[in-house]
Amino acid sequence: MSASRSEATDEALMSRFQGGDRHAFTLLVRRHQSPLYNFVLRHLRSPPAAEEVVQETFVRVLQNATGFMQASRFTSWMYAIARNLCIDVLRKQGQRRHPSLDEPTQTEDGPGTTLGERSADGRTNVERAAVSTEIRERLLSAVEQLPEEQREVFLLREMSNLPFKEIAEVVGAPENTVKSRMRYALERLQAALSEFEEYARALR
Amino acid sequence: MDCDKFESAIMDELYGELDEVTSAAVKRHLASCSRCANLFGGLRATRRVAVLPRVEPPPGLERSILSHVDIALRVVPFRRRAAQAVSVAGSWAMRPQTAMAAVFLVMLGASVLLLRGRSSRAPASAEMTVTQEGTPAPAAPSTAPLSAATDFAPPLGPLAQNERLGEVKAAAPPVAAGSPAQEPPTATPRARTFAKAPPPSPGGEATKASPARDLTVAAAPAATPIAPSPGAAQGGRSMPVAQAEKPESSDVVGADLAAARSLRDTRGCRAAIARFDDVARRSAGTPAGWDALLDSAMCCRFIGDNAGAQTRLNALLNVESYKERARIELEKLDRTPQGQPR
Repeated sequence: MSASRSEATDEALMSRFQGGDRHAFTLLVRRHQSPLYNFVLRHLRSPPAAEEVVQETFVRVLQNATGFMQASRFTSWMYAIARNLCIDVLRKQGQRRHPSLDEPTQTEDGPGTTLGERSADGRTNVERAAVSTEIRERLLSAVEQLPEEQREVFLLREMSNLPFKEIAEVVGAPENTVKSRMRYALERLQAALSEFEEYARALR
Repeated sequence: MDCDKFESAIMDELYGELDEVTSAAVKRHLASCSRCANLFGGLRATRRVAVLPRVEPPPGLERSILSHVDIALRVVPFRRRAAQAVSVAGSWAMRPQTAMAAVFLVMLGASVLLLRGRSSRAPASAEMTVTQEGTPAPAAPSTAPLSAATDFAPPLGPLAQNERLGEVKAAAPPVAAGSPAQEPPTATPRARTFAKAPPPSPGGEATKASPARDLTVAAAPAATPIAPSPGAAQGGRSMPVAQAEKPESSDVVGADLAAARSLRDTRGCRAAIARFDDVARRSAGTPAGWDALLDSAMCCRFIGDNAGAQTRLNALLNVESYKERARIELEKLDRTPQGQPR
C-alpha cells in the first residue's frame, strides 16, 4: 500500500529502520498488517495460520532488512515473503483442508455465521453494504473456485491494491501474464454474478 | 487506437494505470466501438460488484508482531553484530601502529628463536676450534703435543717405506710443527694438499725433485716406486704426512682401484703401476690398499721389474690375509729372470 504524500514511503521507513530507527518499523507494521492479513487469510482460509504467517513475515522482513535494496519496492518484497510462507504452509498441510471462510459453521442451533464474518470485527463497511448477502456469498464462492494463479493475482490486486508491475514481481511472472490472469479471473466472476440484479445495475 | 491495442490496454484502463494520453485514446475508441465498450462495461461492473469483504485483523496482532520482532532482534542480529565486529577489527588492523607492533613482535620472536637455537647446539662455555673448512670441531686435547722430533723423518729405504705402508695406521703419526703438515689431524684436506703439491725447497734441486709418489716407476723403471731419491728429501718430509692421511672412504678407494685396473686393461701395466701405487698409498692399511699393492706388484712382474715386484710383495708378507699369496708370487718371481717381461 503506497503512502500518501504527507507520509514517508515504505522505502524511506525501511531506510530509517536500517539506520537504527525502531519506530520506523512499527509504522511499517501498522501500515501493512491489515491488507497483508487479509491477503494471507484468503490464501490460507485459517485465521490462526494467517496470524502466524503475518508475524513470521514481519520477522523475516526484519531479519533480511540489511539485504533490502532501496531500488526495489517494499510491498512487492514483503508480499513475496508472505506468499512463499503461504505456499510453505499449504505444502505442509498437504491434503488437510481448512474450512472455507464462507462456509457457515454448524452450531447447536443450526447453521451459524461464516468464518469470514466471525473473523471480521463486525464493523460494517460501505462496499459490503452495497451488495446483498446473497451476491456476496456467490462472489466469495466464485473467488474460492478460481484457479490458484488467478486467485492470488485477484487478491493482490483487489485486496492489497498492488499495481500489476508489483504483482508480477511478487508472483515471478511477466506483467502481461499477470494482466491476463486478472482478466480471466474477472471474466469468471462476471459469469458467476451475471444473474444478480446488482450486477445488472452496475452495468448501467 | 484499434481493437487490438485496446485489448492490450483494457486492464490498465480498468485499474487506472494508463497515462492520460493513452487513457483518452482508449475512451475515444470505446465511444466509437460498441463491441469493445460492451466488453469493458462488463469487466467494470464485475469489478464494482466483486468487492471482497475486508476482515479486520485480530486486535492483538500488532502487539504480537512487535513482540516477535523484539525476540528476533535479541536473537538474530548476529549478522549485523558480526559485521560490526569485523568492521571494528578491520579499522584497528589497518592502523600503522598495529602494523609496527606486529613487526616488532615478529622481530622479537625471531630473536628469541635464534638465541635458543644457538644455545641448544653448543654451550657458550664449550671450547671450540674452527678449522680451515669452517667446520667446528672440539678442541684437540692438550695432552697430545705436536712432536717436532719425528717430523723430519729420515728418508726411508724402499723396504722400510713399504713396511710403513704395510702398517695399519690407526693412529696418525705426529706431524711436524712449523711444517705445512703441521695441521691438527682434523685438517686432513689441507694436509693432503701439501702432500700432493711439491713443497718449496730451499735448494735448487727442489725444482727437479718431486714427492715420493711422483717418483714412481714411470720415471725410472728400475727405481722402486715408493722409494724416494736422495734429492727428494723434501718429498720424504711429506711422506709421513701422506701416511697420516685418513683412509678414504671405501667407495672412493674402490672407484680409484677400479679405474687403475681399467687403465691396466686398456693401456697396459706400465701405465697402471703408478695408479696402483697411488691407491695403495692413499688407502694404506685397508684391504683395497693391499689389493692395489698386489696389483702393482703383478704389473711390475709383468713388465719385468722384478725388484719392484719383490719390494711390494715383501710388504704384503706382513699382512696376514695376503701373506700366502705374496709368498707364492715371490717364489714365482725367483724363478723369473730379472728384466724379462712375462
